[in-house]
Amino acid sequence: MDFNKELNDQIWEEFSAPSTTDTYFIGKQMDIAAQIDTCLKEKGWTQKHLAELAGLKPSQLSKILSGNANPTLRTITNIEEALECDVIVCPEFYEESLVDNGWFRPGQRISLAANNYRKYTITDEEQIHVGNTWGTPMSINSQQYEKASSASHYKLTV
Amino acid sequence: MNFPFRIIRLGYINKRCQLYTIVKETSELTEASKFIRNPKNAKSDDFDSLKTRLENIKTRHGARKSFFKPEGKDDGLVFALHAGKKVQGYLTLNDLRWYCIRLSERCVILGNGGIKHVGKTQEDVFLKEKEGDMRFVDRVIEMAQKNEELIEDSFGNLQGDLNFSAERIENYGF
Repeated sequence: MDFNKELNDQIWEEFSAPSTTDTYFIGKQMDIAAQIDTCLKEKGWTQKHLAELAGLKPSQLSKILSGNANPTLRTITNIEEALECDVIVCPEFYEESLVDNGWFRPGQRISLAANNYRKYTITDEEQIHVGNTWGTPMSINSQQYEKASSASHYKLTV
Repeated sequence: MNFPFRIIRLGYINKRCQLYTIVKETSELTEASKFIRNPKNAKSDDFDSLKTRLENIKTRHGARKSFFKPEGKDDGLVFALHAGKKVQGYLTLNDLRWYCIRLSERCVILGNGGIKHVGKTQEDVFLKEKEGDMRFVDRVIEMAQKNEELIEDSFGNLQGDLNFSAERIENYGF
């Protein structure tokens, strides 16, 4: 049979996700599931281990990770505390708290010491290029910084 | 049951996960199209939810294993996309299952599926057949990958001959 591309396109169009009252909610369910999954992989833990630490039943955690659950804020914060990882954040206050604690964003100017402003640019996952306001470049490697769980902020560890 | 088939890309290249489906040699429609066009499925409360979930998988989150329900007890790659079991009082409501082969977080091959009315899939002739189809396709793909005739690249795109004729399947020992 010759595959009918036009028909396939038409079917795919029919299948395109409609915007319903649940669209945004489902997106958030899956965001939360994916964020926990990412943190879980970074820790190298099993679901069972995390469930124990967070005081949840394994089936409860499994449902949250499936992206089909409606967990309470208490449940999510229990998971965050167990993972030492932010799952949900309020952007305005989150960014402020990160900066207060020495985290910075790519391209952001920060003060490392009095009168010493430096601009940090993340060029890839492995390396940060650091240059001061006079353009003097230097590089630091991935051993010298850590990445926030939001993945948008970095902190020097040296 | 053995059958010749082709793997077809569904839609276009996606950011997080590439979607494919299969079309049987004897059929005019792809298996994914059959699922979408089945009016019983479209009437299900889960139908729009599954569409939204798939949209998120292909553009945002990728096909994380936890998003899918493993089907069967073997270690194959047959899973079902579903919207979760819903309980109302003492009743467990019927849920919609869309069978697929989850090759990786970046590549999913969609099949057919339907509403699960019974406790075990084995008790539903239609669903049992659809799950069995994907299990067969999974085994064929495994052989093709072993023979390096089918390769998944780092973006989840399938490279190689996607046409599995009766002769080719027979050569695999099926």
